[in-house]
Amino acid sequence: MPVAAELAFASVRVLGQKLRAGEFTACELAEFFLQRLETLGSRFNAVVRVTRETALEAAAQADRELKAGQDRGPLHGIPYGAKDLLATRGIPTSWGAAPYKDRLIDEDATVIIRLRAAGAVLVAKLAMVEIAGGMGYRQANAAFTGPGLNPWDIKTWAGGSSSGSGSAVGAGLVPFAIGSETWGSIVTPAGYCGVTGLRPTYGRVSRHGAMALSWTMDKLGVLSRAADDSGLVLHAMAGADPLDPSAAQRPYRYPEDPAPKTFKFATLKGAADKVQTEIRTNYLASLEVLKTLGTLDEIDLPNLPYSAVASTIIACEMAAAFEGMVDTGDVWELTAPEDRPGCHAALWIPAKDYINAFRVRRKIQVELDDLLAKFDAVVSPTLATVSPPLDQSFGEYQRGFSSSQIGGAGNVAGVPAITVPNGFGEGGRPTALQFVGRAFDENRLLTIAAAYQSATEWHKRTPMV
Amino acid sequence: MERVSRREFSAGLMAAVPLVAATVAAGAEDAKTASSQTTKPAVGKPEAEPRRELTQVDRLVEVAVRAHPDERLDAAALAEIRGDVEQLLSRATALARVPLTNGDEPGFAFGAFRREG
Repeated sequence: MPVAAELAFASVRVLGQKLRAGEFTACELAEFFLQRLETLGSRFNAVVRVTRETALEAAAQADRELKAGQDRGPLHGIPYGAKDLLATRGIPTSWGAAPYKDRLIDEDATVIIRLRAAGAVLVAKLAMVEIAGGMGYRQANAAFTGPGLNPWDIKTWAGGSSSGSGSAVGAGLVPFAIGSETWGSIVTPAGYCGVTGLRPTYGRVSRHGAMALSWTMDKLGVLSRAADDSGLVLHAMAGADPLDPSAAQRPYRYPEDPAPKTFKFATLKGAADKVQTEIRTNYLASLEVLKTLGTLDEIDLPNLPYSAVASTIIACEMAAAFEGMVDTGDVWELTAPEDRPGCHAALWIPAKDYINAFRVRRKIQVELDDLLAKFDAVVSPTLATVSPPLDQSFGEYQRGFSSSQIGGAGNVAGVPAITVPNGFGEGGRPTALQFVGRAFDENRLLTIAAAYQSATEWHKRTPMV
Repeated sequence: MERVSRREFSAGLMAAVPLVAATVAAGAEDAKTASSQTTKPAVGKPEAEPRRELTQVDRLVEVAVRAHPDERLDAAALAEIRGDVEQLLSRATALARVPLTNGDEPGFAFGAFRREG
C-alpha cells in the first residue's frame, strides 16, 4: 500500500508501528522517501547522492526478515540519511568538497555498520559544508552542492555544517539523519530547521570512518523529529569500537520508558540579553514550561576562555588533518573563497599554544562538571538569531547578537547537548532551546527534552514543502 | 608544489622579509578596497613600497605564505590569512591570561601500547 503523504513527518516509532501493522512494507516506505529525496532534495540543496539501489536492497531484506519473524528493533526498515562525511563502501564520500565529489572510500564507517545491523535503511548521503566548516567559511555558499537551503524559508540558510541533515529532516525527506559536530554543526542546523538535534558526549559514538576535522572535538549525533527518536538512534550507534580509540567503553542503553521526575534546571545569566527579540520571548515562554517540570536557578559560567580554547584546538588539528590539501592545491577548488587560504595560518600555530589550550581545557572540564553536577541541565537559547538570509554573510546578519558561551564550553568539555524547537521568530523561521548536561548523561537530556516536547507542540510543526 | 627545507626557508626568510612583508602589507591594504578578486602574485614581486617596522602579524603572514607559495594567493587571500593570524595571536593572548602551574597537565588520553592488549 502507498505510504500516506503526512507520514513524511512521522516519528521513527510511529513508522515502525505502521510497518509492523502491515500498513506498508519497508520497500514501500523506502520508495516513499526515495521519491521525496529525488523530487525535493534539490530544492534545498540537501542531497549529495540518493542511494536508491542499495536502499531498496536493504529494504527488501528488512521485509524478508520481518516476514520470517526476525525483528532487529525500532529502526528495522526505517530510512535515514547520513552526512556525506561518513564513509560508505561503494558510494562516494565527498566531505562536501568539490575536489572529493566522486571520491570512493572503500569501507563503511562504524555508525553505518551499526545502523545497518539495527535494520535502518540508508537512502541518501546528505549535503554538508565543505570540510565540515573547518576552513573558516563565513557565508552559506560553502559547499559544492550549493548553499544549504532552509525548508521554512528557502531564501535563508539551513545551518551548518550538517546542512543537509538539518534540511532533509526538516523537510520530511528522511525520518532521521546522522550529523557531526565539532563546534555547533548539529545544534545549528537542527535549530535553524526546526528539528531535534542530539550532540552526544565526546566518545559516546565511534568516529571511525568519519572525516576527521578535529580528533578531540568531533562528535557524531542525530537530527530527528523528536527526542525519543534521537534516543532510539543513539542506542543503535553508541558503544566502544576497537577502530576508534576515543570511543568510550561505557555501555549505553536508551530506556524504553524513562521514569518521569522533577528536574533541576540552571539558566545562564544574560543568556537572552543579546539574542533577537522573538528568541528572547520564546526562551522566556519555554522557561515557564520548564517551571512546570522542575526548578530553575540562575547561574554564571566560570570565567574561562572557551572560544579561544576551542578555536586553537580545532585550528591545530584541522591544519594537521588537511595540510595535504594545501600541498596538493586542492584547497583552491573549494567553493567559498574564504575557505581556500583557510588552512595557511593555522599551520603555524606554536605547539605550546596547542598544549596550553589542552591545559586550560582540563580546567574547563573540571569546573564545568562541578557546575553541571548540581543540575539536570543548563538551559539556554540554542542560537542568537533565526536562520540568516542567503544574501548576507553570517557576520552581517548576526551583528550585535551573540549566543551564550555554553556552546563553546560544552564542545570543549565534550559534554552532551540536545536542542528542541521552541517557537518561531523573524520571518516565521524556527527558534530553539538547548539543554546541556554532564558527560554521558544523554538519557537525562533525552528525558528532559521528551518531557518538554510532551508539554509543547513545536516539534510537530512542519513547513510547507 | 614546491616545498622548502628548514634551512632554505630560514635563509630565504632572512633575505626576503622586508620585501615580502611590504607586499603582504600592501596586499592586505588592497584587499580592503578590492571590488573584485585579482591574481596578483603575493611572493617574489618586489614593489617600491615604503619600508616600515615589521609586526608579529607581518612575520607570521610571511611565514605562512612562503611555506606554501602559490600564485593564487591574491590580495583577498592574503587578507584572509592576515585575519587568521590576528585571531590566532588574540587567542594565544586569551589563553595566556589563565594562570597555569607546572602541575596543570593537558588532558591527553595517551597510554602505552601493546597490540595484543
